[in-house]
Amino acid sequence: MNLTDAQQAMLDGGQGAAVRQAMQILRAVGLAKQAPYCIPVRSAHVGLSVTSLRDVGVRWLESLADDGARVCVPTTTNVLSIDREAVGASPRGDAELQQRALHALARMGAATTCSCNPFSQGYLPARGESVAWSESATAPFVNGVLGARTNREGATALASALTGITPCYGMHQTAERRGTAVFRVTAALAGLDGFHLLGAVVARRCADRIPVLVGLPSSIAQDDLYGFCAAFATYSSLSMFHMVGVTPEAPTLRAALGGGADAGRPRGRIETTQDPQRIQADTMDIGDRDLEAQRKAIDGLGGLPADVAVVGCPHVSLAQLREIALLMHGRAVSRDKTFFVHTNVVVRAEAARLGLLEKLVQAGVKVTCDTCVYTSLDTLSRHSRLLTNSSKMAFLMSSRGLSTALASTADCVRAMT
Amino acid sequence: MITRATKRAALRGTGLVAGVARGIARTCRDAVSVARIDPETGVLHEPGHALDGCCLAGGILVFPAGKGSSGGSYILMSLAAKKIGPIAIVMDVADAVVVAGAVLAGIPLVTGLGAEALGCINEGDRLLVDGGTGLVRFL
Repeated sequence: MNLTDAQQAMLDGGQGAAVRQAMQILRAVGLAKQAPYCIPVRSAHVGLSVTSLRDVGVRWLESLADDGARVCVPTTTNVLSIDREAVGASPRGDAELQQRALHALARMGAATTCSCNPFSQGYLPARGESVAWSESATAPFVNGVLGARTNREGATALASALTGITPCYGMHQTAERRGTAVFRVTAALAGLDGFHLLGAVVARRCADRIPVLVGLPSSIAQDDLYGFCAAFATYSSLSMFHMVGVTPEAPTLRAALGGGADAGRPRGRIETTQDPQRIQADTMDIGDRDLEAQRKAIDGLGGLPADVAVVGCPHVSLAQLREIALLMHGRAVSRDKTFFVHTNVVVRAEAARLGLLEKLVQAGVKVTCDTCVYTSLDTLSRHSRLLTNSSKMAFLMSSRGLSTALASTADCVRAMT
Repeated sequence: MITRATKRAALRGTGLVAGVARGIARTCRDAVSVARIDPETGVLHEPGHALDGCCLAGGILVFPAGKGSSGGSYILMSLAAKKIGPIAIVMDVADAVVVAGAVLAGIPLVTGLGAEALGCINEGDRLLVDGGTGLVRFL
């Protein structure tokens, strides 16, 4: 991989130990992915949950900040393992550890926005720009909805934040973004849970081929796209999909498959033998039955009543919070039930200003900020029966041994009141 | 075709994280999520996986590709700090999670051996891994 003089100087330690280590990470990843060079990034979104960082990772973040490391592009932060405002309520020493991680990132100049859904806070990379975003659910949205470019990042996102660059591979290369499988969607898709099911079905059926969806309306609500992307990322390691009429690079099916004016010259791993006509001929259908089959496949409740409902994976937007407030009108959460709504600091502040937050809290809804029941240190009992409108939440919590099932937002409200 | 003669010599890949380690190969033919290694014990937990329940502390982890949560990078870092992690990693198709984790943890890493070469490393083989040169030698 070719490095510029400035990049080589960073690798040689000219900007301190933290930047040197960041460059070591990016160089090693670039070599592994056969990136020819590095390219600038316009923003980064970095993870800092202590459930993965642990004490060793937090001490490392603090050492970076002590070394004088500072982000050199706008940098947002992912979910925490605690609600900042409820720190005192947590008996765990890890809550203090989480505060230290957040403080270290803040010292490095990152915004303490703390959400898995930075889009709901107004952070929207522009079409064509390269960024380095962690949190798997953000990558399909950045690439497939916004037409910006990111690979699925982890520790590398912080390395990019500190250096302003990323190795040019994967989603940063036009040829790697092309669609290689076509799905015709005939399912009715009523509501967010429908899009969660669609994301899961597409991910499971496309395997390692980048899916192109046709037949969807071009006016899909942004909230439904968050859901689709989170579900897609849960069941697939891909960072890209195309929805014809939605994805900026997919005004037409032909463009999505690499035959349009938007397509760059073939380069990298995808070979030119992938004939758009042949791909089109193998079109697969996804109908209502497929979505219902997916809903049944992940149903772990088998008709038993849920005692916990979770909405907000990814974090709810203001529009979703309004919808929940409308659904809750005149209702209250039953005494033996717990209804979590997860959101972030920006949406919650606006909801408080509008009086929505107070109404929900008075009705017994637990509106959390910065975190969720999966990343939280205060985890739910394994015996909980959990209803959610999110495929991702259902998958994650069932992997922890809880019984889970997918339902619409309205059904989650009904089950808890 | 890789023969026993090849095996007596060395396999060559790309060295991504420098350092030399000698130890016993812990191999599997499935993708590994390093995020599933318990950072307190070094034991991998993934029902149905060939290495489920295996303690990887002190071994040389040999596997075809990575998968799973990006938090795995920090898990490798925690394991190395407690000296209960793998002492070297040999994999075929490198992913950013393992590569970044190996850099942060200082674990020698060799990648890109090719599926065939990787396949002739058996569980229990004694190996010398040189993350600087990319050489994997049978001892």
